[in-house]
Formats: sequence, C-alpha cells, structure tokens
Amino acid sequence: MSAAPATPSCPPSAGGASGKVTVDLFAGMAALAGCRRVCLDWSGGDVAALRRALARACPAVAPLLERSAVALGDRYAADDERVAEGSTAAVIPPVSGG
Amino acid sequence: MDREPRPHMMPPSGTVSSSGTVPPPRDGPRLHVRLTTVALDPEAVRARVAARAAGATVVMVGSTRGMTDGVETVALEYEAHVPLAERVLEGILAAAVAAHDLLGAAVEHRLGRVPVGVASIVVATAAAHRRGAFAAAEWIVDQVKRSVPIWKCDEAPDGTRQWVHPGDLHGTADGRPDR
Repeated sequence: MSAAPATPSCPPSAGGASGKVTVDLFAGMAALAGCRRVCLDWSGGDVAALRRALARACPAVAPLLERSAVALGDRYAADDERVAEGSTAAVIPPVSGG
Repeated sequence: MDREPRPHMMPPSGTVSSSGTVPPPRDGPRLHVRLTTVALDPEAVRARVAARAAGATVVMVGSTRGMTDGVETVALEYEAHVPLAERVLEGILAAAVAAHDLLGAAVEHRLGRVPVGVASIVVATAAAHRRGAFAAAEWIVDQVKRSVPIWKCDEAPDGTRQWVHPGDLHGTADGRPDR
C-alpha cells in the first residue's frame, strides 16, 4: 500500500479543530488513501461538498467514494445534510460483513 | 500512514461493546448485539435468546470459507465502524422481532483476523414456532451483509490482501437515506 503524497492525513487528536473537518476512512477506502483519517479545510457545507473536498484532496479514493455512504456520528447522512466545522465524518464504502 | 487504533475500530480489550445487549421490556423480546475481537461462542449466543415460550431456536454460524470460485482464502480480517454498526444491527433485530413475532434475536460478529473454519458471525433467533425463527435468522444475515458497516479483507496463501467491496450500494434497513 503506498500513501498518496497529497493525502492530508492527520492524527486522531486533530478532530474538533476550527476551520477543519475530520474524515475517518475504513477498509479499502483507507487503503486507497494511505491513511485512516483525513483533515480537510472546512468552513461549513453539506455532505455533497464534503465528498467533493475529499475527492479533490485524495483523488485515489474518488471512484470508491462514488459508491460510498457518509456517516455523521452513529447515523448515515444524506448529501444535503450540513457538516459542521470541527466535526468528524466517516466514509462508509460498500459493506462486506457476515 | 496513520495506523493508530481508534476506540471504535479495534480496542485492545477484545469486546468492543460491553453494552451491546438491548435492555428488553419486562417479558419482552430479548435482543443482543455484540462486535468482538475474541472467538464467538454459539451456545452463549443461543442462551441470549432463550425463552420459556420458545418452541424453536435457530442458531446460524457463519465461518471463513477456504475456497470461493476456485480462489483459496487462508483468513478474513474484519473491521467495522462500531457505533454505527451497533446501531444498524439493533435496528435490524428490532425489525426482525416485529416482522416474525420473535421471542428473542441476537447477533455477534467478529472483528480482526478470522482463519478458515473459524466463526465470523453467529445469529440466533427464538420463536414459538420454527418457521418464524428460520425466516428471521436468514433475513437478519441478509441484512447484515447488505447494510451493516463491517468489512472483510481477504488474505490469500501468498499473503496478498484484498478488501471486499461489493458492487451494490448497501441498503437502508436502518432507515438511512437511499443514494
């Protein structure tokens, strides 16, 4: 697995920073990004905007991101839901449990 | 690469959720959810749904398959978005209880590396009659595969690893917006 140089990975402690949003990555999404957590510059916006920002910051994840859901906390979020500055989101790629 | 474990992914303590048992109302259906890095015990899961009124109890044990379409697997490694997975699983069990008039429903799923032949999931259902228990167990497993944020990574004999992401978007058993 090779890390994409442009991927703005950040430590777990970075969550909650103003002007930022933290995105947790799982499974193949993390493998593509080369990290499990990404910090993006964020001044507010919806889930759709977050998807675009993540794809710009880490182009390698874009195809799988298209097939993925986004979660805020312990619930799935629709593309028009607001993502607050300083919050943490998670990208949920197609599942394969069981 | 940031590989520091996070509490909601793979805690060192083994059991991810010590509070996964859903408190039932008095004499209500017994529901139980657990994601864990330790070996599953089907009998313990069965006991979670035991009820005096039960005439049938179904226990389904899913394990790592050593061969799929001619391709050998030596182990699967599972990871999950634990808080979301627990919430979705609780919703699935509640829906199964309502649809099949169950007396109890339980699911435990492994996280971490699961070698061939070792259990990765146990589902148990209890009902007054067998048809509901069988149907509910199958439905619960289908929903786990469709909508619960758990992922498997296939490990081949040569050590190569491949995350499994089916082509279809996962479902909406928990009521999330469809995309």
